[in-house]
Amino acid sequence: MSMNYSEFRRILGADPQSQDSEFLAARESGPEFKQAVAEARAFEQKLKTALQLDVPADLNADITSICAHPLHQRASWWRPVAVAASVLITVAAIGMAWKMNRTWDSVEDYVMDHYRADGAKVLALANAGDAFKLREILADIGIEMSAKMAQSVGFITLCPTPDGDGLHLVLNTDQGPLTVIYMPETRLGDVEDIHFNGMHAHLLSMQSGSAAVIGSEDLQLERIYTELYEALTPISASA
Amino acid sequence: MSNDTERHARFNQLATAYSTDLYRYAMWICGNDALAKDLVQETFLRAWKALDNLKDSGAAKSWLITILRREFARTFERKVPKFTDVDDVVVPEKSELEPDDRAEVVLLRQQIRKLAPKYREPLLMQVVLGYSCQEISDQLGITKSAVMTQLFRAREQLKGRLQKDGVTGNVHELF
Repeated sequence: MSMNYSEFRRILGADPQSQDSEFLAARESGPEFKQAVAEARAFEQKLKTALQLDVPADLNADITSICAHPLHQRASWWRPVAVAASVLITVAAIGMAWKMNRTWDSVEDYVMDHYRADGAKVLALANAGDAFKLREILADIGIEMSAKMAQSVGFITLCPTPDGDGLHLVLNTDQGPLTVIYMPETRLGDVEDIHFNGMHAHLLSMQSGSAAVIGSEDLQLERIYTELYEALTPISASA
Repeated sequence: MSNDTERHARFNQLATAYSTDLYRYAMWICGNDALAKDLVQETFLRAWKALDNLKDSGAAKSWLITILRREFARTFERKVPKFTDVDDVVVPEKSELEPDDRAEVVLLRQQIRKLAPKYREPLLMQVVLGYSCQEISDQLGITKSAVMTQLFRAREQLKGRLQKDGVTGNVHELF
């Protein structure tokens, strides 16, 4: 018994590539069947094109570097956590999990490791709009921030650094969102800028400790450096 | 060839074969380029660590998708990020697509985003990953019949919304 048109349309709409023998036979069984197949083919072509998004050129290289990079073999980038009542809690938890069993050979190692761990995630969540307690977080590490820079903070959380707690910030600037990893107790020696994963990290000495500013290659460093240097100050120094 | 070299080669084969599909799938379920990339990288990191558990290379794709879906669920189970980047992806300039067809593709993307996850996900698995209905059934843990119904409804909703939006009526505002 041949397949009726209604059943044929149901299968065509669910599984146009079906290899069911009755379905295949029905495709040629009449003009309305052929018409339905032609329409389905046209729609599938558009559907396929619509779903075919561009893939970052460096994706495969980043993935294959996973097994080549010794840092990744030491521990997971970050441990998955449920996004709880606020994004702040989530990212703080990510940071704490990421810290476990970690050591770094240099500040450059630390910055790359940290950014790879949760940089993209934090950047993406920076405009989530959740409330956060900026002042309390800063006070936890004995730091104050200028009112002007506070307005540009899209996200902030405490994070591990080579020498105790620090800050992981995303600043919304006229150059776009910038990631800042502030290390209040880490002094820089002879360091150079870092290039990794298509990003550029500038290492800066601050009034207290140091910071890494991570953004695109065309970052205008000079202005950011001045603003950061003046905006992040130890509480005792600015009181 | 040493075990370590073989392991690296095996991993690289997986990355080459599946990273593109996984990224597209991740992009469509989370809608954000940075997060999609992060999800795929985390998936492959976990795959690297557990590579020795993968006995059947024919099951690699399902294995990776399972890892990715779990990772997504774990990370965003209470907060689904807003779609931000899909709209920015340019529709490819394929010669077979007429301008009206390209406009339809743009609208189609918008409507795919609006599909309920229970309709969108099987459709992604079928079209992006090339899964059969049985494979989707296995992956989602629902009956094949339910998969067929969801796929049918997904397509019907997309077609209906395209007709409702009026391809010639709204498209021009997008350019």
